[in-house]
Amino acid sequence: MISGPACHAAAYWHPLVPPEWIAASGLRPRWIRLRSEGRPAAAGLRRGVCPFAAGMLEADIGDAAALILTTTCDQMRYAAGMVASRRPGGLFLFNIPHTWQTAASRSLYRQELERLGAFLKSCGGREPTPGALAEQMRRYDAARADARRRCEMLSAVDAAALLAAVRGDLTATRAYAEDASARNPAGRQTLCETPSLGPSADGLLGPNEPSESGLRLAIVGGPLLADDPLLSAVELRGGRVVLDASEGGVRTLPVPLDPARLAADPLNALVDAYFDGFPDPFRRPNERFYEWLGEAIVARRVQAILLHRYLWCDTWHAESDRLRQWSPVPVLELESVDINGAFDGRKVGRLDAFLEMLR
Amino acid sequence: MSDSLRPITLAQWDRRYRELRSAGLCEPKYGGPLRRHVDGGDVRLTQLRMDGSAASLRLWNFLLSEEARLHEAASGGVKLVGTMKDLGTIPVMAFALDNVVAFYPDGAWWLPCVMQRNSDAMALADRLGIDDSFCPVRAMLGAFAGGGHFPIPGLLTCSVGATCDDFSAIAQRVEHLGHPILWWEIPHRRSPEPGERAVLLPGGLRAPASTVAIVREELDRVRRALEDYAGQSLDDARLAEGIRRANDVRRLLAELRRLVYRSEPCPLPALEMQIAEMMAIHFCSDRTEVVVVLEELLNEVRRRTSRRVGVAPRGAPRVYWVNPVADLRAMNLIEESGFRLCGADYMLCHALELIPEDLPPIEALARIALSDPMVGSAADRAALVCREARQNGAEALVISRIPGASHCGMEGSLLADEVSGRLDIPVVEIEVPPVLDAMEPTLRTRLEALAETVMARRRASQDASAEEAARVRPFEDSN
Repeated sequence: MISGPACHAAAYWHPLVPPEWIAASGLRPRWIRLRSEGRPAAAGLRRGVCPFAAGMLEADIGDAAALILTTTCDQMRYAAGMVASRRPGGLFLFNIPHTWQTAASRSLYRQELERLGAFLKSCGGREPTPGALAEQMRRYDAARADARRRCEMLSAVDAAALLAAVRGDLTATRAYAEDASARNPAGRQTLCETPSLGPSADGLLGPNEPSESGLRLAIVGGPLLADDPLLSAVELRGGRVVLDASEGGVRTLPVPLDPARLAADPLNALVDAYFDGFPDPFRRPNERFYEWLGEAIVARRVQAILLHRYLWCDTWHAESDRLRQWSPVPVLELESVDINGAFDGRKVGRLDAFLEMLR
Repeated sequence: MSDSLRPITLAQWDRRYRELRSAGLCEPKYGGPLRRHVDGGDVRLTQLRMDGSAASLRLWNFLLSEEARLHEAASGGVKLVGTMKDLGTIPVMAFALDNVVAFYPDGAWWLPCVMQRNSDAMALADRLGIDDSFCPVRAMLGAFAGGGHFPIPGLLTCSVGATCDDFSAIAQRVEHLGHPILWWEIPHRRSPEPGERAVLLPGGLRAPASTVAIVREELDRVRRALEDYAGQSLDDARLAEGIRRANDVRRLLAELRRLVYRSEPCPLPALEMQIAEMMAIHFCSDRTEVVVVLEELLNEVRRRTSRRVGVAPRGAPRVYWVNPVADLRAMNLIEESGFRLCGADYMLCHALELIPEDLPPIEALARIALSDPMVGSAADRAALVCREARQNGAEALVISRIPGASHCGMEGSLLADEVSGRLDIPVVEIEVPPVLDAMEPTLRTRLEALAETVMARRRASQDASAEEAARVRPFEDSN
């Protein structure tokens, strides 16, 4: 285990892992976004292995002292076993319940948060105090609120980068690095109060409004690569991604904090925000996902859905037919067979035909 | 191998059945010639080789009559509980109630094999977007959608959490078809943290007490649902009796496994052993009759072991098998390739462990549920596999991948690495599709090669021992 100053990073990939909990533990949250390697990932071509899970095995987490994987799918659960055999220390398998409506499942999630806290402490962090946790929660809540507003004005690629930034180390984004509670009594930062902008995500905080024209599309599905060509491909073809409901998109942001609950019991407020009502098809039952998507389609005036999934991802694959039957708008399913980032001719042709049909 | 015990074809069974009847065979209500099941659509029987004993006849008839018995039960007012995925825990609870029968809709995964083109279950699953990239359990969705197989139960339960993605996703689609499901959480079984209160589970694995508490709470929820459904109380006394009856079955299977997997020669074919072990999970929908079936099978095995006769040559290479097969024909290939089976993990090991009877019943059931090797790490599962394989003298191990199963993609290599490291025996990974006919030559070749490898290793080991003995002897002689 790494010892020394509590400035190490903890890398994670699933939205049900709260970055504010990591930050309150004194480590820097690092949101993993896989990038294409420009070549097929060998394990991703193995029959039955989800290429994203295989990619996670090869993920470069840099100097992170900890890697947090989850049990949200069986592929990742077994991937954790493979990682454990290669990297015995510094791995935490977060046991995330698939049921969500019972006291037992909620209790399990909270227990796992506490266990994660103890693990992060062993990686050079510290036990989060209620005060430190509440402060980090306010900070992240404000950043997410700001990001949600800005995403509507950004291109899909930039919006995805901004959302990734608010899942990571806020100190790396100057606009979000300052103490939110010092800015205004509500604890929320606004654009007009943003100081001078810095690099990386800071660059996304300036005005960069995409055109209002173009077909209004939603991207639904599992995680996209950081350099996934899908988002830009849509916009190059005159579409506009108005709803990113992929795993790294707005769909998986926690709900805004309840200030009263936060003051009374920050950890329970954290569970409220993350666990209750998280809309994802892996949950049982998964009606909440369709409820959320139905509301979002209306709110964002979505005209069509692009369903992105990985080959061998049973969770999304099993929902594709149901999504098509349920959806009030047309749905195009795009399957990625590996993570080399290629937007192959087959996908291009299908996307072109789909957009043409919609016009 | 005794020629009279060589597994026989269905055509040979027609004659064998007449011989048994002439000799005074007494059969239960569900008995009869196996041929009638083929006439009823189970055409795969024509490709299988089956053990020719009266006990195996009863076993097969018991298995193949299950759907008919379920329909008869439903018509007679028996309440049906469809228990999904947990493989062995909820049926213990359900059968503790009066007039309630539990079964696994998961069992539909054998429809594509047993009925082949006579079932539209796969086609219906295809139409619902669940294609053959999913595990053959997708037939369950087709069975619910089309009917015509098992009767639709009045209560459905399904364990989720540390379970395979494809089954969970398919079960969710079943719910979308309009069949409400009581979902209950089976968390991933992790190792206890240092200093954390831990519980020893049946089978020898350990789990945090907090995890056991979660499962206990969940099973209590299932208990209340069963009570509401059945209109009866399911108190601790009834649960304890249910556990005791389940353990009766598990004891029979334990003795059967001990004799079959360790005796020389092997007294029962691999195919019948897999079916027998499957009986553990829900008693093939009849908790009373299953005891009779297994006792007859055990008596037959005892007869054969006392006469030292079997279904494989004495000294046949010993293979350990991991995972159930989508096509039952694959189990015939074990003996046909020269092997004898010496142990197996069909993903239901926890249904073979005795449920503790000295604990509060729900606590005991929670521990059994968590002892399922599949809800923990592949390393845990490998440790249990290695323990039994070593005990039974396994000389090779076969990991049978289930096409489309979410765990098989990575688990196979994890298991293979662990087993190779611990046991120093050859490990082969194969994939068995729902109908293996096109692949049979390939699978047979690989298994035969594995058997030859085992025999070559034996000869090398014997030669090495002889050389060592010869090297030592001059010194002993001189002394």
